[in-house]
Amino acid sequence: MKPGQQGVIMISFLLLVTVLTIGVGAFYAFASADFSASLRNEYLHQSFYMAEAGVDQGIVQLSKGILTQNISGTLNAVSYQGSYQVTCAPCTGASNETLTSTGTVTISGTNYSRTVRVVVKRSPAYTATAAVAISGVASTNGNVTVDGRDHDSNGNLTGAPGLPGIATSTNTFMQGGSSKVGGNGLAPANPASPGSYQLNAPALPSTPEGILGVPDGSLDAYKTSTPPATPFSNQIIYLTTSWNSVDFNGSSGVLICHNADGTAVLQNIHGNFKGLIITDDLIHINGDASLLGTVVGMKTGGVTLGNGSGQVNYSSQTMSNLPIARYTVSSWEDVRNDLL
Amino acid sequence: MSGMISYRVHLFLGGWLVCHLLAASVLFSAEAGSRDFDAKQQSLMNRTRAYELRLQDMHEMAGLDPDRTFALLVSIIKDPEDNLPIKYEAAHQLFELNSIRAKTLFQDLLETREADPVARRIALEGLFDGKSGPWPEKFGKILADPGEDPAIRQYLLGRYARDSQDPSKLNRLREFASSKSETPGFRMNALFWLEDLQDNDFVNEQTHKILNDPKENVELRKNATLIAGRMAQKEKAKDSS
Repeated sequence: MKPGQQGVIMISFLLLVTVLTIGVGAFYAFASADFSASLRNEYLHQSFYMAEAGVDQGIVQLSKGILTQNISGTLNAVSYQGSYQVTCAPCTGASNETLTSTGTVTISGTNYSRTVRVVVKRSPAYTATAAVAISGVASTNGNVTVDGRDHDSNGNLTGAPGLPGIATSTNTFMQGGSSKVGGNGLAPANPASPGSYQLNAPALPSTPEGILGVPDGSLDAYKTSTPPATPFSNQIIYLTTSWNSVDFNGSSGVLICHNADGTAVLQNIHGNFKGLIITDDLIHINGDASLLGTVVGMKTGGVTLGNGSGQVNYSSQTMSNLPIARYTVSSWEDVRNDLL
Repeated sequence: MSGMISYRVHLFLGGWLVCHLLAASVLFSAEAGSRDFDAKQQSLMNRTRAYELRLQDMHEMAGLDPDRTFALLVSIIKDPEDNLPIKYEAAHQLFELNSIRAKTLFQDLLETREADPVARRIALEGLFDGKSGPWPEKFGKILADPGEDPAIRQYLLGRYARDSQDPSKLNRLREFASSKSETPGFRMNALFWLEDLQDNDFVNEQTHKILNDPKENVELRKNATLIAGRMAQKEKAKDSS
């Protein structure tokens, strides 16, 4: 090699090192940016899950009739924690409610947020199958009248055929005394028209929670062993003991009378009630008693309606206005505020 | 002369034209009526359509073409998928359209055990709606048949107890109430009707038999207790007066 050519090699080597350094640096810069983007994406996913949790919380509260316009909460997930803020509008228990939920996770002092907006549609918590749905043998006595035709919330017939008056999971309906049963557009009669009641109806769930389609334990907050003062208005009452000499006195809402043994009884009933009654057994609907809505008798041994001259009338309008309802998502929007 | 001929020709042509126009308008209105009927038919047979709208179509179709409407209503009653209230309305409408044909149809349905049970129940009630004569013998056979649809038997039992002038009515009801080969529901319903007919001695005796037999059906015993309570109240009221 000639002495004058040694510099060329040196320069070539330095150029190569420079190019390699720039390349590796660019690669590291790219990898670092990608890593940051991945982390940011993960945090946004986490905040999205927080927002979804907020929506779920909003739906749960609406279903229980808790009408709170602003709901907030924190969640500790396995590897991260965050919070949600939900606004509910109009939050009146309307047929359509809008929940706007923002989930946030805070990492090293930086907030990552995502907002979702859902419209939820209200429907009755319990899909009534009859004015009186009974697990066991159905018996009517005295002058009790059961009418499955549809009534409005004032007790007037709407003209719609409605439902069967009585649905029993057995093949036996004992119609005694001067009791009358109507439904499916047919006026109450004795003997009841075979079309006005249903034998061999599908079996009812074995718990009130099952009947209302809510998870076990979700109604525990309403449980009480003391009969409520009447009148109560649009409330959920879960009585775990029998209630004798019931005077509804114009009460409304959801009344559950059930215990683990299935022996809780509503007995000697007077006064007016609007809403849903779920009870193990129901005995003696007396003369001035008027139940508007739906009654569910869970006792598998059989439920005897009557001996009095009260009445049970089905009302879809009353069922739609219960303090407990089912909300299902009818539209969902990811606001994607991270892209703004 | 030629003017006279020309006048007659014009008169003839005018008459010819008017006749054709009249015939065309009759045909057109008949076709329009048929199109209207077809549209209503589609609407009536649509099970998902609102009950009130289907009912309205049913009444309008009956006015447009009773014969075709009759056939459609029969298919509604026999359709196991269709809903009950519209079937009852269809049965009612059948009687209004042609009571003799409706009665024959209902009798056929009731006598066909394999037919849709709901259609048979509607047919039974349809026959009672149009019944003006004595208690038909065939109803008695159905009543005595334990293999029959329980809802049909229960309804017949009630109508028999309430409306029949049969001199052996009480005895038959007593047989039903005391026969252990009958279902508890049927026995109880027979006993309820005997209570209603104030056959007090038999009802007292039968309720005590049921209550004293621990092997009897629980629901039967429960309702027998209620009857016994009512009977005791009646006795008490009688004594006090």
